[in-house]
Amino acid sequence: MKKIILLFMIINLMAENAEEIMYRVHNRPTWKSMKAELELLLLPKAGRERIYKMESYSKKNEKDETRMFIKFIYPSDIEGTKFLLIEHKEGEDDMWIYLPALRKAKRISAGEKSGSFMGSDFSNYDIGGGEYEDFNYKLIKEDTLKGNPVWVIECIAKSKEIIKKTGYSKIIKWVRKDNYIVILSEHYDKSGKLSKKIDIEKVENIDGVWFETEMSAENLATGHKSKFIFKNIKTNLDIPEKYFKSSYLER
Amino acid sequence: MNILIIIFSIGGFLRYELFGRMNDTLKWKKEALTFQLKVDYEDENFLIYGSFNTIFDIFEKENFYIRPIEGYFSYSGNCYAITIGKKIHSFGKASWLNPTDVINPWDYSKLYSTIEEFREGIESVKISLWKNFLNFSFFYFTNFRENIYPMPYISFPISFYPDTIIFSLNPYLKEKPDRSLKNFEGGTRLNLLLKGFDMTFSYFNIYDRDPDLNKRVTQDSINLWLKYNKISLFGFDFSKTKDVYEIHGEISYARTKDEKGKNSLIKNPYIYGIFGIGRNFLEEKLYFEIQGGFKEILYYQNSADIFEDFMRKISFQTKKIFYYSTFDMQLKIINEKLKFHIPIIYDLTNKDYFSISRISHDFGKGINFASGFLLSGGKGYSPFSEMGKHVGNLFFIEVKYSF
Repeated sequence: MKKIILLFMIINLMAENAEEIMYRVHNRPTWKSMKAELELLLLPKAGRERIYKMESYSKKNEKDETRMFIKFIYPSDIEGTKFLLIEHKEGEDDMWIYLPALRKAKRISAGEKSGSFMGSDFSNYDIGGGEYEDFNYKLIKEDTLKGNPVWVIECIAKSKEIIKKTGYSKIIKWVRKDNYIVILSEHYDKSGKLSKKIDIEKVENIDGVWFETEMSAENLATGHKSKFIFKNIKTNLDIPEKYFKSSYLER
Repeated sequence: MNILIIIFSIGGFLRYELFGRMNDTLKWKKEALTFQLKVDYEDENFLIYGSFNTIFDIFEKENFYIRPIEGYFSYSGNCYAITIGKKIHSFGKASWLNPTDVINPWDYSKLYSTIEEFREGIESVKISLWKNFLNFSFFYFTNFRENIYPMPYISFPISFYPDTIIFSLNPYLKEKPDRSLKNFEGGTRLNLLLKGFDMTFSYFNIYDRDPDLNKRVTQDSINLWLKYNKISLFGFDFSKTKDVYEIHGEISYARTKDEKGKNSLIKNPYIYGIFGIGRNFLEEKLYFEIQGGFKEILYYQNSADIFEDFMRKISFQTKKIFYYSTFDMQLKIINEKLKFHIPIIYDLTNKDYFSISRISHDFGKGINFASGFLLSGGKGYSPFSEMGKHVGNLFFIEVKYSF
């Protein structure tokens, strides 16, 4: 009986630690603002690769809510397309897309985060970093990956609504112990099948903040891969507020 | 000595397109090569943009012509911006039918494979001011441009007992406003973002892009031509998202020169509204949108009640209220390389329709192939049915290289 109680207490302690670890993952220090050049590479198993290039600006407001402005600069057929996200801690985020052909910024729903970002293997949920409240966490084991001590944490979606929203029933994450960066994740789809792997290939410390500067996602069913690369990152700039106005999209 | 170096980026496309009429006998309507050049410079404050098309079209009277699209300069500070030049200003949260978007004209005399290309730029000055969730814009339009429809010259006899007179409508004779201060065209828009509601109030005092009629009566003829009169437009549009849904609406009241509806040659005031909802499916691979709308002609007079025989015969406002619906489907598959787009505009009252549907494939490296149908027609008297009579249902193919 004592052994069972002790085992139960140890399991509880490990579960609490998993919650604490993931809380720290989602609340790592970040910059007040950031400007970067982004490259998104789409790498099919067979066929020609495609490259998208973007300029990205993000800035937090006084409520610590993130605003993000992305402008596509390559390829030429989508050049000038702009995307604006205004995060809200309470209520839904506001999102617009400016299509140069229409000369108009159109409101888009932030609800379906399981959708693919620009036809890549990253979903909108992956790009947004996920939300701490969406999953229950359990520490599976401690390990070493790419020479770094890591925790291996199982994240189970809390409800069917979360599965529908995120596209994932479960995610296994390898979290570096030194900086709380997730350096590998295995994503299980709605039916519980392993469908995607996201591998953080490069992590840098920029102005005191650890940041994933190269990451790749692989669709295990199709063999299609995508890669996100951040370049020329500049932080804590005085980015003008006008960049985060929907009217500025139509300038 | 300080030297300012501005590096422009250059882009554009080269496009081959072929339009054919879907009849028993295949008839080509357009075969053209278009080269578009875009030049732009943009930094935090300055924006300079220009684009024009050089077109070689086998079926046009003048095979070779240049079409300027836009050319403008913009300077913005922290809370203001000024834009000067020829620009396409698109307004309104609705799709395809926009009651508040009465500024930039449409040119239906040429054929294009996307609805947006029928749009023309307009010379204007725009000043915008913004603070927090408010954005205020003021517009001054320095030049008048009308909507262009391929209307034929009409002439036929009308019997006015005991005589017969010749009635004619000359669509090439247009009484347009000149560029003077008394013909000032301008407007304002106030945009607010509150609790997730994106709202805009509009006011425009402009010359109607669609013509009214003017007449000259002689002993044996009645000659009509096109005249463009002032309208005042009050508009409101909004959009909101909720989960996977996007909801929007747009409504306007237009006060025309014939404020009380007494003159059959001039449009009556009207109220025009469109409301719609859109939703994503299949992890954003599929998008559906439906809209419904109406246009009510105020002070409408049934043509049977018009006393003057001649005025009764030329009355062009055939009904008091019109109903519209639109449907839009967009599907993206194979990592968004293959796209289907089917928009349909349906005039429920006239039973007229218009659609430019397409399937396109992105081969990468800027190469895109598209094919589709331009469908128009119906039984009524709307621009769609007129287009159907003169243009018919067409199919098109397009090969485009963007750089």
